[in-house]
Amino acid sequence: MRQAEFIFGIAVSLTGLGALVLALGMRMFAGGIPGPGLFPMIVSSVLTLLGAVLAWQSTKASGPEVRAVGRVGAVEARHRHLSTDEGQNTPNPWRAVRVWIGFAAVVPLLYSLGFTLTMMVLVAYLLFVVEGRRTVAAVAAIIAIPAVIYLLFVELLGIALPVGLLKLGILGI
Amino acid sequence: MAVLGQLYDGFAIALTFDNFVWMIIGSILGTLIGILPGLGNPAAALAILLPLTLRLDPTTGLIMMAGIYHGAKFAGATTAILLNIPTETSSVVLCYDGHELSKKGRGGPAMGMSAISGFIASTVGVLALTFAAPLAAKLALNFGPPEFAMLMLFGLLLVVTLTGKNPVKGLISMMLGLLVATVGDDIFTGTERYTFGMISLTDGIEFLVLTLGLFAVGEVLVNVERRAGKSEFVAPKKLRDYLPNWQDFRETRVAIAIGSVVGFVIGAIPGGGSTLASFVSYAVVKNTSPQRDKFGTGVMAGVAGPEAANNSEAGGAMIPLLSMGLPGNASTSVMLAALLLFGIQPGPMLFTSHPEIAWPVIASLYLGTVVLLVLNLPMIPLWVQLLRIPYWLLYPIILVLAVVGAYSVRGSIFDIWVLMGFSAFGYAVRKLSVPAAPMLMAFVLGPQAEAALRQSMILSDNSPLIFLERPISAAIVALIVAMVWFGVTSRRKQRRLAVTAEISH
Repeated sequence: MRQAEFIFGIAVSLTGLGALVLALGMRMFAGGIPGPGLFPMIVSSVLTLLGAVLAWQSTKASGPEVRAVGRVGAVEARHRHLSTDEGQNTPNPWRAVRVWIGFAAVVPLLYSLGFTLTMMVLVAYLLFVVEGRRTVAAVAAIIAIPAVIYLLFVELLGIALPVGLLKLGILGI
Repeated sequence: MAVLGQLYDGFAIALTFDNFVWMIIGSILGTLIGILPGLGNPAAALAILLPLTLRLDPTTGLIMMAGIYHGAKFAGATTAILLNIPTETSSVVLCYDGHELSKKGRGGPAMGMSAISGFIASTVGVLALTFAAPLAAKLALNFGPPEFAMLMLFGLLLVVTLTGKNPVKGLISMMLGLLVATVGDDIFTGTERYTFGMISLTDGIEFLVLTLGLFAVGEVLVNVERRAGKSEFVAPKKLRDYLPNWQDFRETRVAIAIGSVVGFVIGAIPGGGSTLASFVSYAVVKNTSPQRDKFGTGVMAGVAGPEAANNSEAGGAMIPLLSMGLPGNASTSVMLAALLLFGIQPGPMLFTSHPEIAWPVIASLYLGTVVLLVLNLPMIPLWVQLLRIPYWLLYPIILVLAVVGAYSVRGSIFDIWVLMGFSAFGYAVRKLSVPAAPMLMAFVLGPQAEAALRQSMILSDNSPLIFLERPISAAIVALIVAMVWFGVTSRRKQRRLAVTAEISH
């Protein structure tokens, strides 16, 4: 059984089921006219069924991946890599989790620190902690990336970005 | 002849100084973002630059988007040929022969051929579009809500059934897109749906946030699983080395012709898309070539044919996009969203009510390939150097840009939380080989699909038989059935062949 697919199928089914329950609480028809619940009911019903089908499929042995039109080449690896180094290390999902957690953790800082400082914290976490690069180039990137992007979008393009509580008036800090 | 006059007016508008400058900027930015490792998907490039294009007036913004689209496509061909990394599914076929040519030291001419065949095919595509688009718009006037509802269903199912690797996963992606599109106030009755009492959700989920989460940040999360080293590849340094020779042109002229026609026809089908166009083109070119046994080992026609299809598809895709508001893939979904955000409703009346939008956009598709040929091709040696930028430096930039993009929509930090949610989801679906493009297309089409369905039910006193009683709608339903049948039987046949091939190895 392909466990991840099974879990995903069940999760999809449960999501569909939850959406269906909520849709049934909306009006299907009002005065003979389709109401707000009709379309969500149809979609969530189909979704519930599809999730169950995927979960069932995952319990069967998988065959080769095919398309109706065109072949599936070896180049379409799920884990695409960006280097052609032969000494590639194996994929480590925890690196992705660490990046995501760091990204999520800095979002509340936008209220107090503003865009520039918060992004400096994010880039510092990514380069120092996740990538383990404590070099001059990394320090330069930590300062330059948020600053340049702030100047480009705010000063040049006039797009507003979060300003922190310090209100120093420099780079939105 | 009137359409030629309108096309001429379109060129005149597209060639004004401001519009031309923004088209060049779009092409350069599209190539720059498209060539950066780990982001090159044209939909992601369009999404990241959407806050910029939306600041311009609609005509200029759309012209710039056409430039970005072409730039990103061109960049995608470059990474497929040099690095064997397809940035989107339509670039996959370029890896078969393109990368093999690169390994033989002919990567430069392969990239040059990609640009030149794209230019030729784009010319064909725009000329065909010029005459076909107004005809399609006239035809679309006969379409009512039932026809549009079935056409949208056809387009969405086409993407899932023919080019998807697992139809169930593709359908799940599509249904999730439709479900997410229902979040917010119902436009007919004002009823809140799936908002859970949150005011921030009453306007629904923002398109840009969903796209950035699924395509940009989700992609980053997959790529950072590996500690990437430097990209090792050999690329010529001089422009001369990027030009194909006369032998290459002799070998590819038929492939370019085939690709141009196939790409345009498939692009003109709602939901056709560049993936289907490139796969079908490759198959037809291979089966009609005297060198068919050499395909996959580095044959120039294996690059020219699919690239021609890729580019003429863009012209064909404008037919359903502009005259009916139906996108063919993720990139045109972004363009549709941009049209809607500009307050322009694509449809049969677009060519009569907003000719100043429709024709310059068509003209800019052609001009975009001219810009690529004249500007980007000579700059390939420079673009190629960007491939050497290490990913550890690039992905923080992508994440910061994603925050900017998400916040810029409504100035709400809630949207950044939504971005986080969709990025985690985008990562999960990529790991599970669930395609993200159907979700994006369904999300963009969802409100229109629901409106068409409800209007159809109103017309028929809530009888679903209306979809079979109206001739055009019934014909589309028949096409849907035929397409699903073809998809199922073809997949069974391909599976049998693949199993046989595995056993014999």
